[in-house]
Amino acid sequence: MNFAVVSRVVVAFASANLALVAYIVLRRLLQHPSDPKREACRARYESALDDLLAAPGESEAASLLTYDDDWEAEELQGAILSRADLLRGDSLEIMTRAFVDSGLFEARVKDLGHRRVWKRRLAADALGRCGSQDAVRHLVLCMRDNDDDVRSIAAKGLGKLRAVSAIEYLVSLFRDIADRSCVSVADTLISFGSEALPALLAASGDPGSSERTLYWVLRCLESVGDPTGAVRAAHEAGSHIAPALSHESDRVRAAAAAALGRLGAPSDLGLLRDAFEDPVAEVRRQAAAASGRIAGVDAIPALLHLFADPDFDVSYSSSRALLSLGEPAVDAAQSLASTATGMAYKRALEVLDSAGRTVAL
Amino acid sequence: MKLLPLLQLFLLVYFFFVNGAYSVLTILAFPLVRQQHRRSFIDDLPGLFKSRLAPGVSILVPAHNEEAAIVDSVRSLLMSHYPKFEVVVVDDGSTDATVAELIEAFGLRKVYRVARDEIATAPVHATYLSKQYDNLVLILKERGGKADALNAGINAAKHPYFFSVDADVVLERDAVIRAMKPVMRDPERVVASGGIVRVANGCKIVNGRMVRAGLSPRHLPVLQVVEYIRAFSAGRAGLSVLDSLLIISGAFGVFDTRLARNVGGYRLGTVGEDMELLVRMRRRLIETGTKHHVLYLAYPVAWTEVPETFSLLGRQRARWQRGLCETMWHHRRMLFNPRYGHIGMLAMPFFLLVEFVGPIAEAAGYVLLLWWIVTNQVFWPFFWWFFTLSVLWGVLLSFAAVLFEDVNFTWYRLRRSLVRLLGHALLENMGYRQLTVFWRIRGVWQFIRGETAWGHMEHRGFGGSLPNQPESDKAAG
Repeated sequence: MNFAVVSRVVVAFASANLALVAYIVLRRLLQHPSDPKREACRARYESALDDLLAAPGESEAASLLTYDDDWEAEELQGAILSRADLLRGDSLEIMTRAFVDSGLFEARVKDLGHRRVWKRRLAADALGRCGSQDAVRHLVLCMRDNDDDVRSIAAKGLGKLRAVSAIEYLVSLFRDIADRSCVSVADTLISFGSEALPALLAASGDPGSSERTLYWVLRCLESVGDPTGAVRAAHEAGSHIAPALSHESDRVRAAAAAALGRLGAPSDLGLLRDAFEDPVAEVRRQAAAASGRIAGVDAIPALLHLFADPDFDVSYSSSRALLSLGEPAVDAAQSLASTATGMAYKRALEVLDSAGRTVAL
Repeated sequence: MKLLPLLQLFLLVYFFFVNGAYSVLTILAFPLVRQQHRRSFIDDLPGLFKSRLAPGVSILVPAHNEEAAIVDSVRSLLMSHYPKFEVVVVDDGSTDATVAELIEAFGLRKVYRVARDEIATAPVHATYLSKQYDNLVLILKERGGKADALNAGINAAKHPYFFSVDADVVLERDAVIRAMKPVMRDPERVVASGGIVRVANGCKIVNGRMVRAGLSPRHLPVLQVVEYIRAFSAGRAGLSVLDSLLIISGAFGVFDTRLARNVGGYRLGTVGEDMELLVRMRRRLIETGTKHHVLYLAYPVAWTEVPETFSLLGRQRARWQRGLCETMWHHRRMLFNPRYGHIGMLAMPFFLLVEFVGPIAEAAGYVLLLWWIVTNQVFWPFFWWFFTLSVLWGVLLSFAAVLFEDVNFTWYRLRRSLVRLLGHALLENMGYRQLTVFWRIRGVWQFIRGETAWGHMEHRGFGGSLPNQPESDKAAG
């Protein structure tokens, strides 16, 4: 090998590297985020927005909310949305109007069709936070985007905008989107609270629902619970959720037991009998917790039986559930402590100690 | 003598192999870090905080004679921004007032609790619960070392995921919620995730919270800042892209509790217990044919104090290398074993050939150079050629990592901090790098001799002074 040629290559490589590094360093130092120009711009926008909030009719403040460059638009959008996240009512409306009037709303709607996925994600995020109901139809359209993140961000946006009309559509999304986006959609549905219950209960009882839809719908039901007590009073949950308790997927069975615990009526205790004997520990654990919640003192025998479960978490869960049932349950634990051995005995002692009763250890 | 030319050829090939490997990792890391940085703009943290679907997390704090810092540390952890968590402090046979301080500060009372014994540990004497915080648990046990204390914590944890956090580490307020986000998105597959660990020396920390990031006026901590940035932002991120991450720092990492119990928890008698646990978890999952992910997260940040003297730094680096050797030895069957897929054929060989052999090869190169100089065999044009190339390549990798992280995260807002970091990236080749080679070889030697001691490290503490305490493996590699 000709050493002179190799040397030239190395020198060229070194020079190119040095030039690259020098370029990056210079560029970085010149465009440092602590750039006073950007900071001053942000401060100007924030001051104008504060003026607008203090005196909504002030046209001078509104006239300052304009931008020429992309970085100025970024600063303005950041200032508006950071306020919109915290405000409610009239103040939020002022921020929404500022977002629309400054042209940012239109620009973000346009970005939803951008070829770069990051532009679309940021646009969906901004529209979901801006507070404008006009954003709902654009976000619903976003649900057809081929990027999972865009869809889940749009779903969150619909939740923030309280777009109740989109609930059924959101439930249907569990069938189509990737697993990792399901949690965003579920969180959105949960944020609707009792308004989402009819659609969720219908989906949980639908024999055509996929395993994934069932699982996420049941988790939503468990999280939403029954804030008004209407479902429990109407004994509505049992009939919808019962089929899922015998589903072939263990995560669906566990989720069904947990959901029944939040929505079921005392008479639904019988539905959990099979779950107490389920081969999967997580299903038994959820059944133990659920029985304590829905059945009250009627669940005591089943819970005491689960004290001796070979799985540590199941027996722990049953002791916590028993403890929540008050004095009759503690009395039952005391009786058990005098006869039981092994784990059941230890759990009984644990319940007695937690209830403040003196135990001889 | 033919041995010398062969060694010379080997070292030359090895040089290109190692630097090529680091370059590839750096190039792979950049899109990942960039993507995570961009995602951080649309992370709905308030929404996540309100999420009722968030899986619970047990934060494990092993403590041994930590009376000076433990109350502040626990108070800081109790303020973590996460919807469902508990703090499990495991007192590992402290002989000072650690337990008394905790009992008094948090109104702890002794309770009867059935102890889980899936992982064998030194005897647990008592469990305490707090009257003020229903998510605080104190476990008292006999002295068994950090790994044993963590195992007791894993036994006691009631949530499906656990964090191991050193008592002297400061977490960013949103660190837990950010670290759990990928777990929430894919709980079936993500079994562990780890965030970036940064150097706290020179930063302003008030009441257990980072107020202002800065650089220490001393050179040694700044050199370590460069190393940490390169190791995390380039090395671990690159390995994560290849799904080949084998280390999650003990200072800040989240693990699947059930899986950790199933594999028997942390191995006792090793100094690299964090890496060893993760390798064992991955090994088990591969052997059972379970698809899984281990993720590096560019954003969640834990701040930790690094050594400020050469002797302490030397001990730390030797111990890290010893931990690496122990893990490679325990799991040698995975090496170049196609049964373990890319972990056996890529990740393990990378750690063997680059991290283990690296310092030995580099030292051999220095010895060879000395030999050539003594025997007047140096071909100076080649020497300068090679020297320039090696320094430039190393500097380029460091500069790239520092600049890229600065572009994305800008922890150090002052321009002079950036200039200092870049200056130290240049300086580290002039002696510091050679010292780390020496320390790492010492670690290999300690492994060969079967040493198991941790050694001691003096922590100055973030707000006051801390007593001497065993140092944990914060950022191996």
